[in-house]
Amino acid sequence: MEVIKVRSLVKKYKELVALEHLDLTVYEGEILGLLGPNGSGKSTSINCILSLLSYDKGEIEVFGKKMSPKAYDLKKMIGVVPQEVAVYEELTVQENIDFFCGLYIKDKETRKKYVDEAIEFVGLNDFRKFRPKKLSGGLKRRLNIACGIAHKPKLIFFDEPTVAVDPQSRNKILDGIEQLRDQGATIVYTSHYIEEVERLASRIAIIDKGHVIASGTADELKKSIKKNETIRIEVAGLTEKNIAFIESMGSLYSVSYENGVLRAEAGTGKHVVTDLITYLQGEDLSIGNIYSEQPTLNDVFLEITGKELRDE
Amino acid sequence: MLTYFLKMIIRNKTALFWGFFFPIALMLLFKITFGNIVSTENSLDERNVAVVLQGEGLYQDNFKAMMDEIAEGTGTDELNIKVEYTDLDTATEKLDSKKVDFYYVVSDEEVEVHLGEKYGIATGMIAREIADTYKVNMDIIDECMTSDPSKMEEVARSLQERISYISLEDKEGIDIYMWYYISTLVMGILFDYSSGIRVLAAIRADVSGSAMRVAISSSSKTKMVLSCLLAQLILSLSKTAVHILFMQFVIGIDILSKAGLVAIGIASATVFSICLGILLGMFFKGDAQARENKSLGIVMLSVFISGEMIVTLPGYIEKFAPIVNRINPATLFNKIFYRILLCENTGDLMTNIAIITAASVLMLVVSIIILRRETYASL
Ligand SMILES: Nc1ncnc2c1ncn2[C@@H]1O[C@H](COP(=O)(O)OP(=O)(O)OP(=O)(O)O)[C@@H](O)[C@H]1O
Ligand SMILES: [Mg+2]
Repeated sequence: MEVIKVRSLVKKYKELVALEHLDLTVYEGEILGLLGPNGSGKSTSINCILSLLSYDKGEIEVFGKKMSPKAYDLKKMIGVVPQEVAVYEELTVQENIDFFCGLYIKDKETRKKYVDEAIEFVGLNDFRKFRPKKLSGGLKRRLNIACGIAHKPKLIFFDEPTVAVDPQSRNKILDGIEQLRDQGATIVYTSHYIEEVERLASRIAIIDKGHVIASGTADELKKSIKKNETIRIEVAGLTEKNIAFIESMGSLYSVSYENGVLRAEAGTGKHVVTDLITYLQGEDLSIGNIYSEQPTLNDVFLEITGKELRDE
Repeated sequence: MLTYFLKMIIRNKTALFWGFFFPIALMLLFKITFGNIVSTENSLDERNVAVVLQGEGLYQDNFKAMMDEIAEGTGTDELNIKVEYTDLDTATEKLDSKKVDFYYVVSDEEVEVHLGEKYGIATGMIAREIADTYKVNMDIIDECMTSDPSKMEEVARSLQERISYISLEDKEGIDIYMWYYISTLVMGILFDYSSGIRVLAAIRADVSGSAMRVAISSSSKTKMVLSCLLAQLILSLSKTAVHILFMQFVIGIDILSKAGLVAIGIASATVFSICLGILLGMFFKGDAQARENKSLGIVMLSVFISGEMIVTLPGYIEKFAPIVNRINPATLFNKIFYRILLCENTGDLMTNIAIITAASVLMLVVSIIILRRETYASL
């Protein structure tokens, strides 16, 4: 079932076109990774889906119904973990979670239970009475998460929840998100960290300049590009003639030879690497170490847009 | 929800400091400073004052009446002043030869204070205070003449009563530096503009992240606004109540005998401040802190030109841009409380309060219309 359906969404900030005919579908029970560089429109698309922002064109459906600012029945089922930590500085951890949970759950008993569960879930039990100011960056992020999920939403948006979080905390957060998915929530996860999205997402949509340029599982995306793997072979005394031959083999691209290392990108053909090695051995060249690197999502992005996704 | 809003406000240290402790500290400071001056004055020798009356008329008469009143009231425990009426040359000469401590020149337009070369702080204070009181009197008389001349006599009588305060007849009961205390009280109330910003920060997604959570939730904004407003009102009014008690029992200003009017004044001033905060907050851009800082600038300016620091400032402004005094909220509130506490006639007091209330309602309606029309956040 489609939980979110976005069709040709256009959003302009004055002259700046932030979203340009964005199409996005999220299915029930999946973690959709929304991957894109800074300023590509991830937050903007989430805010539009949430009816927080007005948009210029397009259609947005959530749980099969048109989303609007007054669609309270839909909003009830949605939880958001915003990019910036959004809590009240004057309230303690527990009070913050209770306040925001109270926006959805009016029954006191139920709410108390939910708040306790949320605190447990993000591991802030020892910090219940702390004010946000006294929490470390990572703990603050966890509080931010707890405030967004305490009311047990069916659809949860995580907008870069791990920015500026140490690897340990980050792993805990990612584990938690998987746990939520296992409990039946549908999740939209935005990030510009490739590894996170690859680990977490069952499907990935790559977004650039307000447009989804590719979507599918990580494997599908990698297979969709021409490049298959990068091969590096330590081999001595390769001649111009050898290189010309390798280039003519048809399934190897961007062949280069430097400091005794042959580097080439393999296409999608079969036995590409074995063929190459057989050839080198036939030429009586001595081969050292052989490295093979699988394509990454960065390669996918690079091939489609001509630029790097990574900015770090 | 209400409980949480109450907690948030109480725990906000900045607001607590400016709105609650700062005014108290300021009043204490005034008490210490002026208290000492007043007591030294009493033990001081007689002061000789010359008055030069230029022309004839209501202004000159009033000034003379006031000076006579002060001079007559002279006794062991009071302001010791000896007044003589003379011409300008003689006055100047006497000041130079230190035969008088200071002299006044009273014309139809203004009253000038001339002090000797090396005058003491106490002398300066007394000289200025008399002139200030006179100015305030004349402002009220002027207003009365233009609005309702028939009440003139009544006003004059009530002013006479006030003049006697200067002579410190009843030292325990009233303080001649009333204006300072009142404008400090008013400043405390005006700082409640921050409550208005807080209301915005609770519901406007472009003002705070927490409001963004509210905007995407299934809760209605109206309920949030109401509980937030209620919390603000409860705490603002309690805070001011403490200030009043402080003024009554620590400073020694009798306010509670006019509790009814004071309460009305405070209520209207508080509501006005909150509405002002909401409107200013909507007008400025940025996060809650940025909006608060910008609004604080405006409120401080209003408080400053109302004479919180320089009592004579409204007098100067009256000369060059009288409109400022008519629309500056701090000045209006100062006048309202001044009248409640020091004047018997409260006739146009209610008109002033009505005007303030109307302005509050107008601001509130504008805010509500704008807020209601915004279904989307302008992030
Ligand atoms: N309020 C705004 N006014 C004008 N332009 C904006 C506004 N918010 C975002 N933009 C612009 O819209 C584009 C998309 O921004 P958005 O925040 O959606 O990117 P993002 O993918 O979430 O980036 P990041 O990874 O940095 O969070 C950017 O070019 C940004 O500069
Ligand atoms: Mg973003």
